[in-house]
Formats: sequence, structure tokens, C-alpha cells
Amino acid sequence: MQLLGLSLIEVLAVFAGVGAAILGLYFLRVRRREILVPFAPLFEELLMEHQRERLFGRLRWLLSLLLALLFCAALAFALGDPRRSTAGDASRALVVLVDVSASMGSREPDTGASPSTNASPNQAEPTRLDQAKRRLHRLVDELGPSDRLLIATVGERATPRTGLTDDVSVLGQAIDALRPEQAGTRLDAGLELGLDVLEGEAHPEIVLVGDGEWTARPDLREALSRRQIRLSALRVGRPAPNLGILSFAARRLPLDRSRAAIAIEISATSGPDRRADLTISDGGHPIYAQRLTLPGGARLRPDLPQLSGANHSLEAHLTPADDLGDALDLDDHAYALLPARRRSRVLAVSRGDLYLSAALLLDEVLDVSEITPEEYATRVHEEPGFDVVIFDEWLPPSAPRIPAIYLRPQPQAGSYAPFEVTGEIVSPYFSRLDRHASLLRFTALDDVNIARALSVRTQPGDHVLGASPDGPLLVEGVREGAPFLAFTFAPRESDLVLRVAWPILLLDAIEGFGEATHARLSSTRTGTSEQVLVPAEVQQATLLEPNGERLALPVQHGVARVVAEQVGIHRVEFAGGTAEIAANLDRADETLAEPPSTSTLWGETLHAPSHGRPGLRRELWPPLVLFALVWLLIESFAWHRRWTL
Amino acid sequence: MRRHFLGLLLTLLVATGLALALWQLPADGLGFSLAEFALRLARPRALMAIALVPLVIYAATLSLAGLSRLQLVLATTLRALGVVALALALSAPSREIDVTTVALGVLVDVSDSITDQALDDARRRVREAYAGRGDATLFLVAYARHARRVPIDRDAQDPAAGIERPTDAHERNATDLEQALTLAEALFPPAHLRRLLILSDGVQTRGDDMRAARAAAARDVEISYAMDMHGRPAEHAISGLELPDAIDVGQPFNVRVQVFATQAGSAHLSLTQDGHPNGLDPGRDVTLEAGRQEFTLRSVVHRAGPVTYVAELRGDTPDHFPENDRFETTPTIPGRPAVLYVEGDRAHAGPFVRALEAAELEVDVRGPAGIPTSARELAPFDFFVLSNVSAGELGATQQLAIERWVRDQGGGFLMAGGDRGFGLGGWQDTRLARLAPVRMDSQRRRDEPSLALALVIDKSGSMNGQKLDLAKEAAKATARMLSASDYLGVIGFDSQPEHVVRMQSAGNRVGILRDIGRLASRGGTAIFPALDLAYRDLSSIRARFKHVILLTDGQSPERGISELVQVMRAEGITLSTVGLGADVNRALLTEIANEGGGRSYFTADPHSIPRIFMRETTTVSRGAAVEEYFVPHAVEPADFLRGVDIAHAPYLRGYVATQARGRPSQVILASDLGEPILARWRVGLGWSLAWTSDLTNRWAADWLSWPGSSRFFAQLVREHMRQRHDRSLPMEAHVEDDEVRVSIDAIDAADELVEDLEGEVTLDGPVAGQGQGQDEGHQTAPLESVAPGRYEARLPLAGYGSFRVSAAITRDGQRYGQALARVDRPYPREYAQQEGGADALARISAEGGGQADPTLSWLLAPRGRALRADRPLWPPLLALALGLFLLDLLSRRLRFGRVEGRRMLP
Repeated sequence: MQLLGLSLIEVLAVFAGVGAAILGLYFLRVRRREILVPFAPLFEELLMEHQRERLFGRLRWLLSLLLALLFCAALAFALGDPRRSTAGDASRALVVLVDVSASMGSREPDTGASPSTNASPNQAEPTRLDQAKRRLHRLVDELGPSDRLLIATVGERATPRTGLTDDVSVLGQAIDALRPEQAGTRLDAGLELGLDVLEGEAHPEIVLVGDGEWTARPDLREALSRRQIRLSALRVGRPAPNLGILSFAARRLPLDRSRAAIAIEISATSGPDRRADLTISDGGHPIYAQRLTLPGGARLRPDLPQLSGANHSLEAHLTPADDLGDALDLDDHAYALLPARRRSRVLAVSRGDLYLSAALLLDEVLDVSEITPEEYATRVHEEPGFDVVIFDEWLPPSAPRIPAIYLRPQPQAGSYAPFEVTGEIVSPYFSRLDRHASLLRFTALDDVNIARALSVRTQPGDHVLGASPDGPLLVEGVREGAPFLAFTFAPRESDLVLRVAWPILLLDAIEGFGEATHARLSSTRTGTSEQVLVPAEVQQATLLEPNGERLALPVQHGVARVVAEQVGIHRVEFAGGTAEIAANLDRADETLAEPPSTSTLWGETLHAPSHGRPGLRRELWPPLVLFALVWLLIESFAWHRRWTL
Repeated sequence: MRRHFLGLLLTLLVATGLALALWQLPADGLGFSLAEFALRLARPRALMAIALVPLVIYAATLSLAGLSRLQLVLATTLRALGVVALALALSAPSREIDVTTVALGVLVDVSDSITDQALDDARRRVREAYAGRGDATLFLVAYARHARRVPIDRDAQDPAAGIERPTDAHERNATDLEQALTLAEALFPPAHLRRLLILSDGVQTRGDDMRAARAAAARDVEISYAMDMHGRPAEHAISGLELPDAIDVGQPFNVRVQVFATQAGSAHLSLTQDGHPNGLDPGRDVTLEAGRQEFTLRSVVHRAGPVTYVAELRGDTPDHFPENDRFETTPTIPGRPAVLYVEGDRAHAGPFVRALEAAELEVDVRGPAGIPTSARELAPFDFFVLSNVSAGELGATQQLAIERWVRDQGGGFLMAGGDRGFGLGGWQDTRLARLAPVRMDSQRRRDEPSLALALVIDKSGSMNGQKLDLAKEAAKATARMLSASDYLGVIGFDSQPEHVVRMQSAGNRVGILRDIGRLASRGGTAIFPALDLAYRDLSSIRARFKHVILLTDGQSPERGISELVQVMRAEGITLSTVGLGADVNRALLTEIANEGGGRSYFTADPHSIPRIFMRETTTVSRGAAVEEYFVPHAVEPADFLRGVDIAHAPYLRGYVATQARGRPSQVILASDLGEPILARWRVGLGWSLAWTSDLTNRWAADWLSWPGSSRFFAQLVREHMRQRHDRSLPMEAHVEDDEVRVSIDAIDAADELVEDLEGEVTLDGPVAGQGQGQDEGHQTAPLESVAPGRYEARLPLAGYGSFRVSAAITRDGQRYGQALARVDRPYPREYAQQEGGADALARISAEGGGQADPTLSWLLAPRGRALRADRPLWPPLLALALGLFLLDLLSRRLRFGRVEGRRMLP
């Protein structure tokens, strides 16, 4: 027993003070009222009777005093807020790990209710998390008098929502505040948290609350066993029909960037065949639609055509075309990003090279202007209006201030040259290629036959992408603050121009001057960490989430680390640019979550949580007050009827 | 009595009505505002106790206490108010108030990167915090790989006594602040301002601390930090060990060792290969500068397979982590380049084989019968030398396999000459002729001697009839094929030979055809005299190439034949044999054809005789062997000629005349007449080369005994052999936390993204595991398609060292390709971070709204912050009830007012 309100001294002082007052009042002799009577002998008999009952009256007085003191004692004790001690043998310490993964947002029709239709998605129906909340409230209500409980959520990470407490109001508020996340479940972190929190507790127990089959690292099983932590589970949900997109990704074709290859996988929970409409939109405009039939329980990767003209932001939307219901809305949408197709203005300074012109024509977003070297001298002031300049076997009088591509940069008198040319290499071939360079990623240059090339001396900081034994053949670097790519040979003097590698290399270089074209996948999964490259001088970035919320992102060494926690397009804004990340649910175990009939972990069936020890809750003042109330009522009748004094 | 009953009934009705009305209140709390106070009833339905008030009043109506009316009303009112106060208390009312009590969690980093001095400093801070905590709540969390709560015993002398490093080294060699932040959040008591103080050096190796900090900050946790004020300890470490992507056996390469040091000094850098000092450069004394630097050492590998390199740094400057002075990596060196050498004259293959083997090339020597028939059989080889083999010894399938192997798999192919090479072997118009970088229809020189061909035809009795007729037709066709500059003689033989056509110019075609027509059968079979006659005819003729075709259908004495053929061969006269029917002495004919440097044919069908004669004639007539001493000279530079002094190379004794093809074919070496000796060109992914001299002692005897020949041929093979990584899909593998993350891009030859690939990634290692005491592990994980043409896998990583990552990739059940990579994790990241983590802690603190190195008073001060919390109001209500009770009692113990009628006491 312990007092959380007044201390024992204070309680005794209150009791003593109020008791003394009561005692004083009871010892206060009631003034005899002066009554005038006409004839005294009429009352003698009555006075004699009073004398006879005097002893009994004193007893009643004493009883009344004791009852009054008892009332005082009850309230004084209640003011001390007495509690049962938590050191009792049966007091439990519970860590409740609530699955808040995406599947807990699944809505399930009530038993016997008619299946929902597409027109009215079952928004009014409770989610699995709503069911879990009801179970949790019941669990809290059934806590033993000295039990304590901690509520933590497990999604991609474990998050404590309360401390280990017996405060039911705190627990109730935490339960009411639970919301499903848009990610998967990683129980490991939750179990580790439970192990840490329950260290040294007498009757530790971890309660798993969720809808899926539980999995965790095997070593945690040993740790739980070693510390004799009981593991139990509350299972919520039941199999509900669901259709969802398991994965969605897109990539531009290496050669034809106007086309994109699409990969999508959809699935349905087990049951009858499903029909669904798949729509792919680009920037909100539908560009592809297909009706699919999907056997129940199957996963389908439909063959989609390569989409032409896809711009930047793709969204796939799956709509059930039958009346069988769709429990989870979150997996009906998926997003993918393609490298933005910026319209680039390219200035080609050439005396005429069909191979160069033809390669540039392959990309319809390039705005190519071809001029002769003589024209360049007169139009050099226009250079800033272009994004890239190509010098085809000719060099300008001064270094260009925009990204440049040099083809066989043979210096002439009075011209600017990116390299010092030391001679000529006859019949070179690529004996060394930087296979990690993104520019060479989709090319095969090993067998290119070249008639001749310039022997050049590169500068510090230049990156040789490919070289023959006698010198560099393909070099990238920066001159006068502008990046460049140089072919030390004339492509038309090689069979490179007859290969698909030629336009790929050229167009990748033009596109790559703006950004790392192939650096990032088109989509990622929620909960995973992605890195966004930002300029080295940038220290802070902002993440705009799909729901419109903004988060400050720290930047370290030119890298901003982003964890996409919602399905949709995340936008990273920083000084001098933006970047986008598409995140999808992308988890079969969430989309296809069909609650098992029993909860299991490591192959063992998990039973229901243990019961709290029956008895009063730990707070003892309410029963004391209740006692005082009843006392007041009874004493009212007793005093007025003169049973007490 | 009736009046009392009605009164009780009325009272009960009122009480019940009141109770029912109050039951309508919500069961789980009721909030409302009163004046400026926000109030809440946790159990509103407990207000039903107010329904007792009518009963109290009813009791007063039955009073026999003899109080005055005023006194009775006052007492009853006080009693009713007492009941209301208790009922209100039962409803658990509360008022929202501001709470400014602080709970401070101190997170102490106890990982290995923290020095003992810094840990003592952390303990001191904890003691100070405990002593000055006031009414704040203090709790401790110690963390390294895992976080744990450190209990504070109130009676203990030292509240920081529980802050200790984990005893398990594995627990100490990582830092997970995310887990510590999560645990700390769970340890905060309710209704406290939540503050955290991190005592760390900022080195993080696991988890996402920023994410945890952001999540904590969203729940009003303020995070401050104090750095280890003693700075990072003096340290020197090997931070990287880089080897080239592709290492070939026998080829020297650079090993780059990246070193980090906090202060200048000197050290000894050593490099071992498989436990032995690195041969070319076992190590050296180096001067360390503060910061990062790189040292380059040369090495060479002499065997294929995994080779473990260990770089170690022993410095004279203080060093905190000896673990990071050692870096181990184990690249898997592809097997020695394998060369398939098919030599038509296998007995003379030795010198060339020795030249290649001296250059650490694996050579498989075979005769023409061992030529692979499919590209798959060729797959194990990197270079294929086809030397002095005639076209007739290869089928179309074999030629196609060679071409595909070169074109699609990047193999290197060298055709070498000899008397059966190029045109001499009948290669014209074949698939391999198109593959060769030279043309085989050589233009003859003006002074080129003609071909002298002797047809020795069996005209014994057994040849009578169709056989002899077809033999005559074959001889006539041969005569028609030869040019005027060629010579032809026909010898018919039975027991004795006779000139059917004397050796004469083939231009005399009419006479020759007429004479052949006179050939008639009779007698037995004797080969020797006929061959002897042919030998005599040919030896008297000056011709560049002299050849005998022997046709027979029967047995013949063997005596002297072999010796004669050897003599003929020594004089440059070659011999081919044609056996007709089942009675021929196959062994004899095969032997003399081999000795004669020609070919042997056997057929049961007389109709095939003309075709065989025509083929032989074509073979020998189009050949263009040049047998003269000459020194080849380099006409084009080539990388593989580096270090080879071609200008001082010895003589070659002969070659097969061919023509250069022109660009993009390159002639590297040429004869003094400008004819190609060595030429090459690219074919698909591979190379095709032509060496028009031979590789035996016949033409290249001096060359093969020349000291530079081994280097010449080795460098030639290495430069043009297959580069095996071309066949692999590009794989990227890196370590993140305790996982290896693998990604593979699949783009096909048409630059299309390849979908529907399947495969399994295997992680093996640590490959050597020296010093770690670990057995080699084996993990597998399936590849998952994450985008068109992109596949990924994740594998758990245990231990430290060098790990092999490989993937076997299939498509529709068929092998599609492979991918290989290597990841190194030489020691825990805890020991790898040379720069402090001040930035990381500052970012976390900024996210958590805290401060760097805050004072205790700042940490524990509310600073205008407060939590909204409920203050219970039931205690004052109980006190009120007590006071009302006393007043109630007082009102009843005193007498005032006028007592009426029957209520008077006696």
C-alpha cells in the first residue's frame, strides 16, 4: 500500500483535526430548552422513564461519535489517494506491439453485410486497426490492479506511444490516436524495444496485435526465452477480398527515350476470379487502359506495350470491375517517375556530318541548330541561348561557356582546345573502358574499329571513360566551369556511327549534362531510405510529402537522405533545384494480407494475453467515497429518527 | 401513514428520474469549460449519486430531532451539499493545467569509438545531472550496437555506476543511436517535459538516427548533445585497398592502398599475397601525413582462383584502433587464359606450346580430330589457334561454331599457315576464310613456278569397267581445271607403271584428254614402281608445288613405299591417296598420305572419284606457299608488340601467300614483298588473326627458338583473347548496415531492357577469414525484378573480410548469363570513421530543437514550455465534503429557532 495524495502524516493530521472537531461537537452539551409547563407532576412519570434510559442514550451517543469519526477517517484516508503496491507477485508488465502497417487500414464488411460496390467504397466499415483499438481498450479495462502497460506501434520502425504506465487515461488516449501507416511491418525492432523495456520486470509479457503472420529474427526468440518473457497475440481481421498493385516501375528505353518500358504486377487475394480496370496516367492524363482478368490468389504481370510519349510522372490505378469488394484502397494506386524530358537546344557546329545529324534527330525533344564554323564566328553571342554545343572536327576561338561535346578536337591556329594534342594514334581500339560510368552504361564499345585518333594529354580532374593502349579516346571533364565530353577521334572515321551505341552515347551525354540520367530507379517502396544528390554547397532541403506536409531535410556532403513514408510523389526542394521520388506500397504481404486463423511466430501458436488478477483497480479512494456517501444517507435516516444522536 | 407512503413514493420517483437523467451522460468522459477553466469528468455517470439528495430530504421530513424549521432546513441543505460534493468527487473531475516538470534522459554512447577518458567524462556529467536534478526525473540509457536502460539505484553512492561498456566485443563495435532514441522515448514518465541529452562522439554505424530524431521531435522530445571534449584519439588506418577490376594471371598490376592518419609520422606498409610477402613489392616504409593519402604497390598473380591480399600498416604514431590497421580483400582471379591449339602436325607442336606456357597460358594441344563442334565446347577457351589444318578436316558445323564463338562470345581466333593452311588447305570460300583478316586468293607473282601434279592411277583388272571409266573422267576433269602454267602427268599402273600422259604443260589439254582416254585395265597392283616413276617425273620438273594423287582399289606390296614417300616429302613433293572399295590397304594409304603431307580419302562409290580429284586439285592448285628466308617487318603499331624487338627478329623460312583485305583489317607484320604475315581485325566481340607462316620447325624454327618469340606470342594471345567479363551482366554490390545489397542491370544486344529473368544471388565469405576465426558462410537470395531490366537482392552479411557475390541468371529455364562482384568489409565501421560525427549530432539536435553542450540548468528549466495535463479535483471536493459534514454536525448540535408542536423533544 502506498499513498500518492496526502502523506500519512498529513492524512493523520486531517483525521486528527476533523476528528477533534467532531469530538468537540459531540461533547458540546445541547442546551436544554426552557419549557414552561402548567403542572409539573404531569411530567414526573416521563422524567423517571428518562432516568431509566440514560445509560442506553450514552451508548447511542458513543456509537454516533464513532460513526462520525469513521466517516472522517474514510475521507481523510481517501485524500491520501491510497494505492495497492506494485510490488505484488502478480503485477504484470506488458508491452503491446500494435501492427500499424498498411494492411491494418483494410476495411472489412461486417458479417452478413452485403458486399460493397465500386460506387460506394466501404469507407464506413471499420478498419482492422479500428478492431484492434476495440480489443486494446478491452485489454486496458481488464488490467489487473497493479499491471502496467506500454503501447508501441510497429511499422517500418518501432515507435513507443506511451511509457510503461497504469494510467488508463494515458493508455486510452494513445489507443485512440493510433493510425495506420503506409508501409510494412518489421517486428524485429518492436521485439527489441520490448526486450529493453521489460528488462528486470517481474512478469513481463509482449502482446502482438495485428492481422498478418508474424516473422522475426530467430535470435530474438532465444532472447525472449532467456528472459522468460511471455509472448501472446491478439488477432484482428479476417480474409477480405482485395485487389492491389504489387509493383510498378518504368524506364525509358536506352535508345529511344520517347518510349518507356513499363513493369507492373497486380494481385488478388484468394477467391473467385477478379476483373479490374488498369489505367496508367501521365501527369493526370490517361495514356493507357486495359481490362484485366485475374484468377483469385494469383499474381499477374500483364504485358504492356512500350508507351510512347510518356513524359515524367506516371500513375497506375487499379479499379475493381466486379462487385466482390476491395478491402485496401492504398494499394490501388502506384507511381513511377521517368527522367524528365527537357527540351534542350543543341548547337551543332559542323561542316556537315550525316551521322551526327541523324543521331541528333532520334530525339524529338532536342532542338538542333546546325551551323558551319564560319557562321559560328558571327553567332557566338547566341551561345547562351543553347544548352549544349557540339564541335565537329573544329574548335572555337574561345572556350564555350555551356556544356560542349568535341569530336576530334584538333586545334588550329587561334583556336581554343580542351587538350594539348601530342600526335596521332593509328587504328586505336578501346582496350580500357570505365564500366561504372553512367554514360557508358548501355553501350558496348569494346569492338569499335577506329581509323585514327588524336593523342591528347588530359588535365588533372579529367575522367577518361575509354582509352586505347596509346591514349584516351573518350574523356569527360570541366573546362571554364562548363562540362564537356570529348571524342578524340572522328566518329565517322570509325564504325561507331553504324552502331546503336553512337546515338545512345551522344544523347546520353546531352541529357547527362543536366543530371544523372540513370542514377535512380523510377519508384521505390515506402519506408526505404533514398539518397538525393544536391549541390555541395547546399546545407538544407525541404521534403514536400504527397499529403502536402513539409519536412526539413538535413544535407550532408551533398546528399539528402529521404525516407518516403507515404504512397505518392515526394518532392525534394533545395537551393538551385528539385528532385522527385515516387514511392509505392510495393509489398505483397500487405496487399495480400489474409489474417490466419491463429497467430504464429517462429512456427509456434501464440495464445491470448494473460488475464489481470481480479480485484479492485489500484485506486482505492473511489470505494472510500462511495462508502462515505452511503454512510451519509443512512446516518440521515438514523439521526432524524433518533436512532443515533 | 398514508402520507408517509406517498412521500416515500414521490421521493423514489424523483430520485429515479434524476438517476436516469444523469445516466444519459457519456460513459467515457465529459469535457466542458467553466469560466476560463477547462474541466473534464472522467466518470460522468458517477454523478447519479446526486439522486441520493431527495432521499436525504425525505429523511428530514421524518425527523424526530425536534429541530426548529430553520435548523432543519440548514442541516438538510448541508447534508445534501455533502452528498453532491461526494458525487462530484466520484465522477473524477479534473482541470487542465500547465505542467513544467522535466524528465531528462541521458543517452551515453559506450561503443568502442568512445575513449575511456570520454566515458569518464560522460559519467561525471551523469553524476552532476543526478545531483542537480531537483524535482526532475532522470533516467539513463547506454547504447552501442544495442541500447539498454541503466537503472539508477537511489541508495547507490554513484548513480553512474551502471554505465559500462558491453563485455561482448561484437556489441561494442557498432553504434545504433536510433535504437537508443526509441528506447528513451519509451522510458519517459507521463506528464513530463521530455528532454534527452546524448553523450557521444557522433559516430553512427547502424540505424537511421535522423529518422528516429524526427519522430521523437514530433512527439515533443527535445534532443541536445554533448560531444566528447577530448577529441578523437590519435589514429592511423587503412581505409581502402583497391585492385583493378580485371586481373589476369601473369599480368602485373597496381594495388592502391588508401591510408588515413590523424597526425604525421612514419610507418611501415606491408602487403601480403595469400600469407606470403607480395613478390613484386612486399612493402615499404612510408611517411604519413595528417589526412588521407594513397600508396601504390605492384603485384602479379601467378595462379587462378581466389587470392587474398592483406595490407598492414605499422606506424610509430599513437593508434587507438589496431583493428583498422589491416585491410583484407580477396579477388577471384579468372583461370589462366586457356588456349586451344589445334596443330595439323601435332608432333611439331612442342616449341609453340612451350612459348605460350612460359607466359602462363594454359594450352590444350589437339589434333584436327579434336576440334570442338559447338560454341559450347569452345566456351572454356579464350583463344583458339588453328595451325596447318586443311579445310577438309573441319565440317561446316565446326566452322560455324568457331565463327559464333568469335563473333558472339568474344573469342580470339588465329589461323596459322603451313602446307595445309589458308589457300593450301583449301580454305577458299569457306566460312573461316570470310572470318580471316586476309584474302586467300593470292595473286601469284610473275616468277612463281607452276604446280606439277602427277596422277598415279591403278589400272589393274579389278578396276575394269565403271571404276576405270570414272577414274579417267576424274583425270580429265583435273586436266581441265589446271591452268596452262601447271604441269600434269598421268601414270597408269598394274604390275608395272606406264606413262599414260607424260609430264607436260596442262595447256596441252586436247592431247592430255586423248591420252587419258586410252587408259585400259589389266594385271595386278604394284604401287612402289608407279610412285617411283612419278617421283622421277616430278623431281626433274621445276615447279613451286609438286603433288601426287594416288588412286588404287587393291592390295599392293608395301616394301619401299614409305621410304620413297619420305624422300619425296624431303624434296617438297606431297602425296595424297584415294582408296576405292573395301579391299584397299587402308593402313598403308593413310600412312603414306600422312608421311607425304597430303590427305587420304576412302570411298566405296566410284562416282565420288571425280569429286575427290577435283577437290585435291583445287587444294593444291590454289595454294601459294612461299618457301624462302625473310625477315618480317612491322608495318603498323600494335600494343602487343611493346617490348618485342621485331627489327631484330630472326628469319622465317616460309609462309602462305595471301592478300590484305584493307580497312578495318590491319596488317601488323608483312613480308619483304608486302604480303601479310600477321593481320587482324575485329569480328563481333572477338578478334580474328592470321599468321601466314607456320608455328612449327618447318618455317618458324628460327623464330620459335628466338628469345623474344615467347613474349611476342604471349602478348599477342593476351591482347586478343576473350575478355570474359564481357559475358557478364553488370552487377553492383555494396554493404549497408549488415546487408549486402545487389543490383543487376540487364540490357540485351539490341539495347532493350531484358525482363523475365530469374536467378539467385549467392554470397560466399569471408573468403579467407584470416584473423576473424570464422568459417566461410554461404547465403543465397532470389533476384527480384524491381523495374524493367533491373533486378535486386539483399543478403544478410555476417563477419568481416572479403565476400564473393555471384548470380546465375536464367530465362525461361535456360542459362542467360552470370554476374560477379566482390564486397569488402575488412573491419567494423565503428573503426572506419576517422572524422568526428559533430555534424551528425548537430543535425539531430537541430531536428530535436536542442542545443550543443547545454548546461544542466538549461536542460532542466521549463523555458516557457509546459505540457497540458489534467489536475484531479476530487481531493478538494473530499475536503469540501468533510467541511460540510462538520458544519452539518454543528448545525445539529446547536439549538436555535423556534420548535413547533409535536416536534418538541421531551
